Amino acid sequence: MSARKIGMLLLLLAFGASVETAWQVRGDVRIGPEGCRVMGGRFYGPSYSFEQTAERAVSSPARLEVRNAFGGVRVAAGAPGTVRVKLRKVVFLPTEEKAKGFADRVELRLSGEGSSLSVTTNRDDVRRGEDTGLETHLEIEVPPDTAVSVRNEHGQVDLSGLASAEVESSFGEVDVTRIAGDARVESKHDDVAVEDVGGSASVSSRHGAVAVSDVRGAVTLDVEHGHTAARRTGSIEAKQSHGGFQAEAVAGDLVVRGSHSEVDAADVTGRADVETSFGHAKLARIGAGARARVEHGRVEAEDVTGGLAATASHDGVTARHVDGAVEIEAQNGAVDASGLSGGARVRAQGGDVSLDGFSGAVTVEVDRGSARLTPRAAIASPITVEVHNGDVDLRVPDGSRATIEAESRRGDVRSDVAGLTVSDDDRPGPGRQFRGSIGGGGEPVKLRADGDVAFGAYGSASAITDRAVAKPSIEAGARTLEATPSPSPSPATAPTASPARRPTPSPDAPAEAPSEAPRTEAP
Amino acid sequence: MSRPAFSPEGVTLGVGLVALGVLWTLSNLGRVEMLPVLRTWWPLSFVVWGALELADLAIRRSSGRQP
Repeated sequence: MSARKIGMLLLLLAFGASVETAWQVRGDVRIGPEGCRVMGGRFYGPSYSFEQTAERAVSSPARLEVRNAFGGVRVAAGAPGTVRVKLRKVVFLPTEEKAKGFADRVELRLSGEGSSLSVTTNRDDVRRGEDTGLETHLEIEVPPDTAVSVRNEHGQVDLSGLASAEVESSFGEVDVTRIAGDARVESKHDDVAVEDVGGSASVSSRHGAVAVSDVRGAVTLDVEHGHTAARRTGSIEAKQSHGGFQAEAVAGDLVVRGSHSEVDAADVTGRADVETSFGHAKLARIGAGARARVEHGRVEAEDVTGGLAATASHDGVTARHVDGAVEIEAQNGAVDASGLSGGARVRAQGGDVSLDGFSGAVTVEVDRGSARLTPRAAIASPITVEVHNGDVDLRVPDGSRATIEAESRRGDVRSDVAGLTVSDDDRPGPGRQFRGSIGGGGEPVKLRADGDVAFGAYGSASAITDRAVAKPSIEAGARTLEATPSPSPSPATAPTASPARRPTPSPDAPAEAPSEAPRTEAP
Repeated sequence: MSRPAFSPEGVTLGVGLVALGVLWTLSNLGRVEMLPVLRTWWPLSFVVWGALELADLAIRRSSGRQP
């Protein structure tokens, strides 16, 4: 085949591919007086806004359901007994005349009797078979004791000053604030903020950050692919994956099941129970015990009352100031603990163990690492240390009374503790083993290691000082909760829509502006 | 050295260009929609080209020339 024929063949194939591609994107590309629209261009180009209002009397307590597709939904507390609805229709067409003709066909739909009211539009009927961009923004005022349910697909949802709130949103930010009862939010693609809730709060989010604050009741969170921040809440039960989790000032228990998440929790009055992976777990000021299990990550716990159980793999464990029993396990990581007042059981592989300023019975097992122990005061409880492939170093405060069993399988046993009397030292071959006593004998101290075993004098017990375990504090949160205004039945004091921390549902003209304002937007 | 009777690919390209021009003109006149017609009929260019190649082969054989 000649080069000429090959060129012809390629030319025809390229032509055919271009035609097929143009056919595939034909609905998303349009060149006309409104400019070039590319890929989902229904919402590009000039647009015009038109408004429609409606009012309906409802009995108390009211229940409102709102359904919308493209456009924001804002519901705020207004006058008792009346629901006021303002629909702002934004039509994307080249001329105002065409836009008005289209908008005239879009209407509010209010249905329901008595205390129930449903608000939606006929946008689906109007747009059926047409390729015109249409946003329908709903701004609704309801009686303050209204329970509101909103389902929206594309647009911001903003609820404030209501009896209760339920939101299902697919694309768009969700703001829920000043809710007297419960709040529930399900969001798929955007950020969620829930604030000042008198009852419980439940948030489910798939892609977006979640912020929850000042919730009196229990909080349930299910968040994927986003960061979670919870502050000043009741008890929390959370599932978190692929995003960080932060909790502060939790009045109750905290349960977190994380995956690929870093967990930070501080000031929890109840129990903290955290499991996560590929991220650290940091706990501070826990009031009723803590349990932390991290795979491929570090555990850090500080000021824990009620005991600590910590497990880490591929990283270490740090514990500071724990009141209660401590159980620590670290695989391929070190253990660094201080200020343990209720004894400890520690197991570590592939890392050193350091216990500083502890009291109570202590059991330590180390594989491929060394152990260094410094009691807080004179030894008054049993101490057992078993080390494979490492050394043991025990600091002995003045005034200690203990019965010693020490064995170094391949190293030496050393002591500079005055008053350590040796009663037996008869190990044949390498290593050394002896029995002895300090202060005339007392609690059993058993140290075994492959390497050296050392006893060191540590001055007087009174020289070892340590601060008390700090308690969780949620005072700041309590003050905020008390200051939270509950939905008021008086229209004069009814809360208004919260100041927009983010752009309003539409970048269009404000609600008070004359309707039919041309909208300038870059194509 | 004699020139071939005709070039199949040249004829195909010429016919295709004529068809494209006519179609584009009709589209501008509002008689047809260009994209659906193009998408439907563009594979015919292969048919035309193949037919012309066969015709060229037959002509060469009948005239005793090597293909």
